[in-house]
Amino acid sequence: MNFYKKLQEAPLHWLVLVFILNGFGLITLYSISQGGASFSFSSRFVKFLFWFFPAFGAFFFFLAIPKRLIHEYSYIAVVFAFASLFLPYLTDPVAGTYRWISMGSVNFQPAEVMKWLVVIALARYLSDHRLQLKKVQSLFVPIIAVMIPAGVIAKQPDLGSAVIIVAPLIPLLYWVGAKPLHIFLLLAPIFSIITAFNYYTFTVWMIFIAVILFFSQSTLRVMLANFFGNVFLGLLTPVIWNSLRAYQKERVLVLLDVTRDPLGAAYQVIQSQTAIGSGGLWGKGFGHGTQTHLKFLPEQETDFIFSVIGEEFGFIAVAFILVLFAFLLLDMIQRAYKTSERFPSLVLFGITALFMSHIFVNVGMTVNLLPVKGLPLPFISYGGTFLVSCYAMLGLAMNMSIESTD
Amino acid sequence: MLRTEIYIPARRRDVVSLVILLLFALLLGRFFFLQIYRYEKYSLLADANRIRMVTQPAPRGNILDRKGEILAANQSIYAISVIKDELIDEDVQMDMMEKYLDRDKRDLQQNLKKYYQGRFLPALIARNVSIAKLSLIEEHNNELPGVFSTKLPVRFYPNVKNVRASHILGYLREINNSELNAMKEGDYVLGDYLGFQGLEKLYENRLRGVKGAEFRQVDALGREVGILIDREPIASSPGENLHLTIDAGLQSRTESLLEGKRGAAVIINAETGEILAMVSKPDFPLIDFSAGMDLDKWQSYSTDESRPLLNRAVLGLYPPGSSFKLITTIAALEQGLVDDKWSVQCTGSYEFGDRTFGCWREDGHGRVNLSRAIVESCNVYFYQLVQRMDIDTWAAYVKLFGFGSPTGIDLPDENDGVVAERAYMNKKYGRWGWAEGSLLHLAIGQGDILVTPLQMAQFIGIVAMKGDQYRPKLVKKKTKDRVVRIPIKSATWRTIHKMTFDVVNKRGGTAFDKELAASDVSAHGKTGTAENPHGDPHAWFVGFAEGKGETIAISLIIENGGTGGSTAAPIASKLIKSYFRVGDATLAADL
Repeated sequence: MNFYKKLQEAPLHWLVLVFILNGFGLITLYSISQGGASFSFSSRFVKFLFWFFPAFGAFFFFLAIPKRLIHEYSYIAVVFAFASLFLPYLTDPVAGTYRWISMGSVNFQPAEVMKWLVVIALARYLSDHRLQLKKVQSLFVPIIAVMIPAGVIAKQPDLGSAVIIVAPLIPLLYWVGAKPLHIFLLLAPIFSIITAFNYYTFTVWMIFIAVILFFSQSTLRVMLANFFGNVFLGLLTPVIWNSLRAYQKERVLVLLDVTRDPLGAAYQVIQSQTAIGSGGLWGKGFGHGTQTHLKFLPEQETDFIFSVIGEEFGFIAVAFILVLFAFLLLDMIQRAYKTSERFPSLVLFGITALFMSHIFVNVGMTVNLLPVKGLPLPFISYGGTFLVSCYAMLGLAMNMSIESTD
Repeated sequence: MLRTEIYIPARRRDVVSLVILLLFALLLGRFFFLQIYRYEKYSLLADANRIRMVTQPAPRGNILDRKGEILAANQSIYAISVIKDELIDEDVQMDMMEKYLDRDKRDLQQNLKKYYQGRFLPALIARNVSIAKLSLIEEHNNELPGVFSTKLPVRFYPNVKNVRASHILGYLREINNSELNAMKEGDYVLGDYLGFQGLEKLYENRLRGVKGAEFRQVDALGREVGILIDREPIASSPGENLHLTIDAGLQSRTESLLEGKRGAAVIINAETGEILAMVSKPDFPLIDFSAGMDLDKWQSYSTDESRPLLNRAVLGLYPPGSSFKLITTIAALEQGLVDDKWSVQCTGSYEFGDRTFGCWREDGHGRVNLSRAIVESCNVYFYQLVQRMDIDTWAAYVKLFGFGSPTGIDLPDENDGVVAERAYMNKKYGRWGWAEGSLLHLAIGQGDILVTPLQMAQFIGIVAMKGDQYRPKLVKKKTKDRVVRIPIKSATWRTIHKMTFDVVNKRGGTAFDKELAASDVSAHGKTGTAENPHGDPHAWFVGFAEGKGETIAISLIIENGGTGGSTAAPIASKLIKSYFRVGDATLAADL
């Protein structure tokens, strides 16, 4: 199958959607850079424009590359990527973290590639026809395979990327046909840890688990192991909480009470909500966001760029962008459903899950639905390597959505 | 391997799609809540972020005397402020300012800490900087980036006719943190001045005015990025002027006559209750308080044993002495216990029980009737007269004239005084701890009776008006006060007026004054010599004078001044004469 033919079958309207989103990102960046004295080639707006070249390169590369090759080299690639996670430890930390590999003027985050290589490797493992998904034991390998890189990234520390690495796991297992009970039991530990902050919620949750287990027709041994495993995790909660860094704890606490520390941990959240809320229906207009231009809003080009859109262009633009994203993701799901082979369907679905978690975590954080994580918004936030990564994922997704005839 | 077929049920797709839609709906709902439902709130928050209100001080209202002379006005002083962010080397610059301003570096640093409101906001470090020192700072402003001079309005006293009126006007003090927190209303901020004593305190709300404001746009670091065009500045409006009932000339004359003494004087227009002069000595120059006072000076004022900060006219408590014989007389006349024919033999002392009560005239007055007893102030007469009444009857008449309770003058503090009654005496000394002999003392204004000079002025004013009581006041009012009528028979008033007239106008009277007797001013009075445990007796004079269609009432006390007749009465006659322009024309010219 030649590339031209492939291109004809590709869902190119995804590109149109993404260009519109890019357009919003660029307009917003341009508005932000207007705060400076005059237009210059060193402004982030111009720098960002140049990043579209490698981004398109990556897009076409991952669109053109045969699926067979991707399938074949996925395990090797993920091992190499895993090894590269340790490269930053060879250099000095950047801002106290070991997230970045510096290559000249470009900083590169190994975790950025790791997240979709993990998705591909998972897809390969789960697409093996010998896998008996009805058995809970089959789920252990993918869980461990995801937890190890996630743990390393969390130690860098980059909790946001670690969450993103783990995020596609459960959706992929569901998509490939794991039993809902197993998925519930996989998710249960997370809830056990969270609910254990309060005696009553923990009790209610434990009763809920017990009821589910009782009707699950499992053996008594499995039921007891699951139940007491969760109790044990709940008891571990204080240990886990204490192992968090102070700023991470603060971010969680701010979620519960935004007035907690208005000049510290909650500052970003308060300023972001203020920017968005004061934008109203129609926004304050291009270049007129006071929260943005008087620099009350932090990280406005990257993590909080959606707050700038909310402030300057209002609810109308916010709704429009969210609808575009939803439309793109739902169409990707539909394509994954239509695909007749396991591996491409799983890769496509996994990438959709990656985009979804990025969008939900980033946008949710600007309106204090989720704690602040340093995660950018796909196709809109400033950030060169992230843009390249997003286009690579898009190319990959498009590639997978095309039925191969070879 | 790629050929592995997959069958995905449509239901699985639908569940996933639904989850995605729900998550987006959650986000959208949150944005709707913030941007549409809570739009007003966040708009205000965003404005509060970017708009800094810079307040403009309002000039305090002036204080004027009854004829429009300015007693207290405003002037600008220079102050030095510092914007911390713009300082290059705080330590070196503070050293330089210590030198140029001639102030202690530690004080400057302490002020910087005290008035610090943010890195980019000016903090006041020195107040009341002289022009000479200011120009030193200006000369070196290249070396002092971040240092600015500002103007502050403070009180200024023109001292027309050398009036001080320290205790009446009172002074301002810098607001402190606890006062600021207790303040329910008003736009006070740290560093503001607040009326702390006298009229400045009582009329704070009328005098202070309303601050103005200018709006500036600031960025997240608090740096100003320009004046806002979309918001008009609010001009400050000056405080109300306060028109006093004080007569600057009379006040000044009273102050100079009491200079160097300890004591107080109150002169009231008896027909209205308006206070024409109120003096308490020693006093203090108000200007000392106007731009902040250093600790040493404050210490010297507050520890001075002559207590210059105390307004003796309303807070000083004194035994009234013989001037109180007037009340004993009024009580006896009203009760029908005495007439002018009843007389006693004064031998200079009087035996009561096992105690001897003396008269001031040790060789005795001889045969004394009521008129002589008042005019010559015979104690023995009153010792015998008061035995005809009960202590509570006596006390009821004392209280009728306002003693034992505040007069209601418009000053922040006032003493009630003490009036002995049976219940009071029982409580203080026990049921059997005091003897009827106490009443003998009370009859001549000694013992458990304490009054303020203002209460005495109010009392003698009532006598002058034959029973009409006006609430004493310092600030002019448009509306007329309600008059309280004290029920005393007019025959009694006639007797009292006749006797008090004789005290001043009859040769041998304790306050006899030749010039007044010869003039057409009808002056009345009663002297008092109040024994007290602090040395020489206090000299009292209370009286009133009618002339030119006016009636003024005077109460005057000189602490440890000796006898009322020799010390207090001459000062009072001088005041009456200068007010009504009797005699020496040069004295009158002052007014």
